Amino acid sequence: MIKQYKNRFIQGTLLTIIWIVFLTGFTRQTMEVTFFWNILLISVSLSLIFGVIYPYIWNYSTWIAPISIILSSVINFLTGYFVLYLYSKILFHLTLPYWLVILCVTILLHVIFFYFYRKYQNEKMARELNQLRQR
Amino acid sequence: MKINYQLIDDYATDEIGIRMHPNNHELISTIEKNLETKHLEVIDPQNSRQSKLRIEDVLIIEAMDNLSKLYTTDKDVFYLKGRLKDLEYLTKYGILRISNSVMINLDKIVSFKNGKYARLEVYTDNGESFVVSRHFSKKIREYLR
Repeated sequence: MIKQYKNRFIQGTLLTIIWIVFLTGFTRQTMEVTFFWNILLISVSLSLIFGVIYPYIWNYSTWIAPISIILSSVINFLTGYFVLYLYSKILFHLTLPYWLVILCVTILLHVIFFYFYRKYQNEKMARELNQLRQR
Repeated sequence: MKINYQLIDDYATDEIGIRMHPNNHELISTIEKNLETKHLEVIDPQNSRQSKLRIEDVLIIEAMDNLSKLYTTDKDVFYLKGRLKDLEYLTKYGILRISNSVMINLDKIVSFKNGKYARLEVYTDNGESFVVSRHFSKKIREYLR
């Protein structure tokens, strides 16, 4: 499990660096060295969330849905603002007044994913396992 | 291979008679191996003595630090040497992991259900329920196929 997540993290970081550098190429002609460190931090944060934390919560954790929802929403929300701040301070200040709306949308999406979708998936899996067991 | 069964009262309850063609004599060891009762070396927590426990009596195995805690169907508790990772060989006897900290005997399972708060749960024949993680539910599915 640890080896698998380590690989995911490294792959995720590398792909995010390439993706952000590609996107930044449209808006910035030159790039300062300090900004490259920001890109590195953004990549590490995003791959940590989407390559390690989310797959762990989805695949391995046995927490109840409210814990998964609160934990992932808070991590997602805070990292989102952190990443935005690192990428562009202007964008960060532009979105800051709407933090409550963003937080509510984040929680809502996590409720859909970690409660309703997981419930649907569990019902499907339980049905399949019961059928296989009775064969 | 064609198998004929004869139920004979003269046999003892722990005795089985097998008749076969001499050409099939190689099957004897395979049959013996499969019919043999499998045991686990367990430690009794009350007196720290080692004893043998039939694998079919295992209900669940829980992770501890360096040992594992084994619960039987009769609610007895024993310790097992090794972590759950070291006990994965028990998969061939139908004892599979259902989460990072629990292994369960599939023979004792009554049903799988979507439990409270969107968690997949497994119910055993003694009425207990355990949470199954998504990763290990896929492993169980592979095993049952």
